[in-house]
Order: sequence, then structure tokens, then C-alpha cells
Amino acid sequence: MSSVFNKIKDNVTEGVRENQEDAIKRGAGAGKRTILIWGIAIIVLVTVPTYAGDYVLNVMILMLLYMALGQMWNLLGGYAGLVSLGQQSFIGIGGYALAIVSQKYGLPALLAFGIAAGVSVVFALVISIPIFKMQGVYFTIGTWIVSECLALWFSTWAWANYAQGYNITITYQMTATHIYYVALAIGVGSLIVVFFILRSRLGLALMAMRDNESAAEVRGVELYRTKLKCFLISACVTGVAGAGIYLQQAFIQPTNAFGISWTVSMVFMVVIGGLGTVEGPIIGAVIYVVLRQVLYNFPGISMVILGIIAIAIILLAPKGIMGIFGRRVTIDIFSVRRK
Amino acid sequence: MSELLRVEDLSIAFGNNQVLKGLSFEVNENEVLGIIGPNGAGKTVLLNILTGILKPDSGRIIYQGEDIAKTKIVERTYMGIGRTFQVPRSFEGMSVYENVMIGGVCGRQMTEKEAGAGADKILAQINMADKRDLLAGTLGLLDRKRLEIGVALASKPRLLLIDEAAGGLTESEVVSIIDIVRGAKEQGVTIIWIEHVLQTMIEGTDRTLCVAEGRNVICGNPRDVMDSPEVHAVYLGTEEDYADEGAGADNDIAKTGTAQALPPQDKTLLEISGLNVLHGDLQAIHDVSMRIERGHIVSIIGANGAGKSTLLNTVMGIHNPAGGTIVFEGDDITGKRTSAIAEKGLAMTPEGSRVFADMTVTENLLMGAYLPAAKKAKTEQLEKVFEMFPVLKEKSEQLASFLSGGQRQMLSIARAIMMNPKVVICDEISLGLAPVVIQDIYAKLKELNEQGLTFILVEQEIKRSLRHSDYSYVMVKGRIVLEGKSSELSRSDVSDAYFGINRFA
Repeated sequence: MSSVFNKIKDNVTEGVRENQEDAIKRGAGAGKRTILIWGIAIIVLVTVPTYAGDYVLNVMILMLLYMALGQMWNLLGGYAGLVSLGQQSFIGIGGYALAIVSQKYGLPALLAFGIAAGVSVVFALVISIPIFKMQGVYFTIGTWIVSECLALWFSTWAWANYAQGYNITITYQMTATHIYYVALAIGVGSLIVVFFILRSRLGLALMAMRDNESAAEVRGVELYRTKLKCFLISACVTGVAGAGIYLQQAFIQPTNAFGISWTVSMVFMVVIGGLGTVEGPIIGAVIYVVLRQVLYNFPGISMVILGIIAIAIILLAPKGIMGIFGRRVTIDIFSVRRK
Repeated sequence: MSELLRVEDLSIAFGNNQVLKGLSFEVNENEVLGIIGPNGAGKTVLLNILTGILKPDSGRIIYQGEDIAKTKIVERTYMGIGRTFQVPRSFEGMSVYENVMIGGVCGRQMTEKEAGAGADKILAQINMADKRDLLAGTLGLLDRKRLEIGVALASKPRLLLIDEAAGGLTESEVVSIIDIVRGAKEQGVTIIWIEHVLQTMIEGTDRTLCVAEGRNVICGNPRDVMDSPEVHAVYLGTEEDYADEGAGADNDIAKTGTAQALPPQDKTLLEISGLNVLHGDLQAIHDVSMRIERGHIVSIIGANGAGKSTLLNTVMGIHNPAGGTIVFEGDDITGKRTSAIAEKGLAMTPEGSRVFADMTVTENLLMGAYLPAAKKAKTEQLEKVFEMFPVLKEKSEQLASFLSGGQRQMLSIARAIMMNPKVVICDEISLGLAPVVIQDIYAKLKELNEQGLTFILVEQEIKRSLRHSDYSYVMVKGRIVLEGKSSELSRSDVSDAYFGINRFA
């Protein structure tokens, strides 16, 4: 019996090894193919507005923006071991930056994106001082509390128009195509940020932290600084994406802008897509946005269905969708592997 | 040769447990210092202190002439202190090559290009150039152990700390590890090597230090240390230690008498045949067969990593065997659920007692009567247990965390007895306890045994095991190498099997 067992085990090990070797062989000739795939993807994405209607365009906008949010949450939760439930702080900051800059002061919206990025980073740096003293689940709860405080503060803050919030009328002057290009820039931008981080020295340290934090520290990875960098980068891009989201939504209110449901959707996307992978949030964002559109037809039970799907995927594929097929095929287009 | 590291009077305690008690030693530049010692001697704790993971309560660590006690983990890496982990902690989602790069990029602030070139040299050195692009998660145990050393070497350490690189490997694999360590020494690295595979000490180290109970026992030429009476005493115990523990021989004869009166099929309580257990790639138990007779005390002796705890856990259904059968009172219990096995009358006191620290003594005992059959009889059983262990009655309303180490061990045994078992399996009940306390515990076991309870004792100390048991098995590297009536086994037979002297004499 033990010999049969061993044989099966050998076969499995061998199978995994073959997959790896295949991936490496494919990787060797991947240069040209990668460029080709990227080229096609960019052409398709840039030309979408020429052949797609407003509905498709709006769905694409959501996918791109949510993908950016997912990428940023993945940077924290998937790599740096920082499980945050407070990323909505930065969405709110981004959204309010847009509302206040364009609506209150009538300044160009482009400026709002810069302010969203800057304020998010500064705010993240300030709250990191107390928040980073907390470990594990306390960090998670701490980030959430910060968001709840922001929601309360904005509700009572005259400058932010109390709980009434703002109508962002600049949206009505823009077509879906305009907003789509903004979303495309944010989505692709977030991907480029993540890709370059992972290809840099910081990325090497992050991947080591993802796999084993205590071992990484002994190997010379400065956990505090690495985590802080991720937190700031994530805050910056999430803030910009927040501004993008409210450019489409056209109405902002504190309880909505600083609500936890933003981060819940980020976690959903990343976990079903595949934690700690670049592809995971992309797959997750596509699935999440499509599901949400479909589930609009089932008001009342839509959240229940979403929850059941999330539980089913976690049970069947604990490492997300990338975990199932990452073993059989390696998607080379986002390969951050060093050769 | 100049001195690279000096450890002075290092002490650390975890709660009641004083793990290091004034350990001192020094390592010279480009020397390989081996450290051996039984389980619980404080070896891994020492490495954790040297790398900054733990802070010592007192003592000094002088590295390159400076006291580094206040420096952080990463700073020590930058200073040139590298280490490997006992259970390899490779970065599983990264390729072998990327794993090695971590050492250079993060540990020595190299650019990726420099680290990459260095990584290829190291891969050649650890014989893993052909596995360069495999994910570390797909590697076998030997490769992971080699990779551990490779990643540590990539940060160009001056001092390399190795925590059990040879544990769980076959002999030819051990040789390849020794070669890698020798290669590192030739490059000028100073090495501290903790190991249970004693062969590596003789072939791979310049000097060997034996540590026991947090103190240095002896230090010197590896072969002399291995042959020294002090080291044998640490592993096997000395005559004096047991002089007042009472002779067991008289009782043995009486008991064997009663057991022989039973018909043969009733005599055997537990029978293990042809058991094989795997931990991932590592075969922890090879073809082990045992017979435990009713009313006996059977001891299983073996060094750390011999597979004793794995064997017990397999009997209790915590691990599933890859082959073989376990029969208890005629029923096949192989691969059954742990709760079902416990219900049949097998109880276990786990290594380190594992009492429920935040519950009172009584609550702990009631947890032992959790199964339905035991629950019914819990009041009477509780009385009986308190009668047997008066000290527990005294402290019945106190939290278990306030008990001393010996009292916790008593509680652990009492908790096992609460379910009215037929066999109690005791995993290292004397570990970390003072000799007087150990005497008390063994006296209790003897008392319980006389009332008909069967015991399986797992011990590292040979002499004590032989003295207190009816029958003994000696395990080395997952196999039974020697068995027999405890009264007939001589200490030298056991010690030969234990130290494996013949294999590398």
C-alpha cells in the first residue's frame, strides 16, 4: 500500500515539476508573444468607445476602476500582510477632492486627481503612525475605525457641505467616452505601478514577505519600511481611483464615500481572483462587475447570491481562480518572474 | 585565530521555564562550532537570540568586539549574521533563483544585477543550478535544506547559524549537506551548527559544544566530546541521578506473573504492525511493529527526531499512516478519528503537558471527562483522581497557569485518567523538570500501573526508561533498532544503538 501511495505522490510531484518546466520553456519564447498580447489588448481597450454603446462603456469603466482598487488592496493584503478594511478612507478623500475642487471652487477636474493623490498620501502617512503600532486583526479594525471617523467628521464639516454632500455637475459636461479614457488611464496606470513595484527590489522583498514574513525579516527585509511604502502607494492610487469613481457617480455623500462596502468589494475581487497575484484582481474585477450587473435583476437577494458565490469559490478554490489555473497555464503577460 | 563571537552568561526564561541558564561560549574566525544537546536544551532559542528574534533576560553577545544585544533583526543580517531554519522557510511562491536573490538584494543591499550574478554562483555551490527556475514550493526536503543554506550564503554572512540542516535526511543526503558546509568554511565563513544527527558533528565541525538544560556541559574536539562521560550522561542519565528513584525490578517480576496468567489473546492490548508514516517528502516512520501487553509499562526511547512523537500521534489518529495496521483489543483502529480512538480507552498526555492555562484545575480535569461514557462517571472519577493527586485537590480552584511544571505534568496525567482509559501514552513527561519532581511523577505512574493501568512512555533518557519499564523499544531515524525486556537490555547496547557509534567509528 505504501508503495502505491509513494507512486501516486511521485506522479503528482512530477506533474507539478513538468508544469513548471513547461512554463519556463514557454517563458523562453515569451518575449515576442508578450508584446503581441499587450499590443492587441491596448488596441482593443483604446478603441472600445468607437464600437461599444454607453452601457458597455459604463461597465468597462467600472471594471477598470474596480480593478485599480483591487490591485491596491492586493498590494496590502496579498503581499505586505496588511489586511485593511479602511481603504474607503482614500476613496472618500479622492471623491471629496473632486467634488470640492470642481464643484465648490470650479477649478479644473484634472487638478482634483493630483490633490486626491497628494492628500491621500499625506493622510496615510499621518494615520500610519498610530495604525502601524497595531498588529494583525487590530490593524484591520484600526483602519476601519479611521474610515468611520472620517464619515462622521465629513458629516459635520461645513466646508464639505455636511451630510448633504455634493452633486458633481462636471460629469454632465462629459461623455461616457471621456470618463472611459480617464478610467482606462487609472486602470492601466495601477497595473503599471504594480508591475514595476514587483519587478523592483521592493517587489522582491514583497514577494518574500507574502511567502513568509518572519523568514523575510531574517533575510534582511525591513518589514516596517516595506509595509509603509505599500500603504502609501496603495493610498495614492486608491485616492485617484476614488476621484475617478465619483466622476462617474456624480454624487457624493459621507456615509457612502467612506462606507465599508468599497473595501468589501475589493476583498471579494482579490480573494476570488487570487490573492498575491497580479492577474487575480483583474479576473476578480471582471467577475465582480459582471455579477453585480446581472444581480441588479434580483434586488433584495443580490447580496445573498454574491455571498454564496464568494463562499463557494473560497471552498472550491482557496487560492482563487488564479490558484486553479495558475498551476496548469502560466499567463506570461504579467510575469514578474526574474529569469 | 581571532574571536568572532562571544556569548557571555546568556539567560532567558519563558514564564516558569528557565530555558537558558547562563550559557557561555565563543567562536573563532573561520571555525565550525557544532552544538548538540537533548530536546529542550535551548539550542533553537539560542539561535533566535543571536539573530535578534528573542531578547535575552541577561547576558552579553559580543560580535566583532561589539555588544549587539540592542540591534534589530535586519541590522544583524546587514552585520553579516545569517541563519537557516530547522523547518526550511523557503519562499514557496518564488523560484529557487529568486529565493537566493533575496539574500543579496535584501540582506546586503546589492542591485538585482549583482545579486543575480552572485545567485548563480551560489546555486552551483549548493548543486542546484539545474533547479534554478523551479518554484521553491515544489522542491523536496533535501533541496529545501540546501536552498536554506544558499539563501543564507547569498547575504555574504561572516557568521552562519545552521539549525538542523541534516535532520530527516538519508545518509547520502547528509554527506552532501556536510560538503556544502565545508565549502562555506573554505570561503572564510564562520559557522555555528546545531544538529541532532551526531555524525555531522564528527565529520563537519572543528569543535563541538554540548548544551543541556540551558548550560554548557562540555566543549572540545568533536570525537572527544561524543565519547565523553558527560555527554553520555546528558543523553543517557547517570547512575547517581536514579539512585533514590527506587528499584523497579521487584515489581516487574510480580507483574509479569499476573500478566502471564491471562490467556494469550487477552494479553496483547495494542499491536502495531508494519507502520509507515510520511510527513510530506519525509518518511518519519519506517515499518515499525510493536506489541504492548496489558498491565505493562512499555518505553519507547530515541533521540529528537527519531519519530517517537509521530508514532504516538499516529496511534492516536492525529496522523494518518501510509501503510500498516494498529489493532487495539482486537479492533483495527488504523486511521480512525482521534475522538473514536480515545473512546476506546487510549489517552495521551502530550509533550509539554498542554494544560488549559486559563481554566481551573477542576475544569481541566472535567475536560478529560468530555466523552459521553466518561461524563457519566465524572464525579466519582474526580474524587478518585483527587485522592491520587492530593496536590491537585489543594489547588483545585486555581488557574492551571499558576501550577509549577511538575504540577502541570501531574494535571496532564490526571486529566488523561479522568476518562478511565486502558492505556495512557505519556510523551516526554520528564522534560524540563527537576529530578525530585521527576521522581514524584514516576512514583505516581508506578502506583497507577499497579492498579492495572498500561503505560506507554516516550523518553529521551535511556537509563530512566529502562529502570521504570517492563519492555523497551529503541528508535533511531524512524526505525526500531533494538527491543527487549527492559531488565535484559544493557545500557551499552542501547547507547550503541542510540549514538549509532558503529556507523561512523
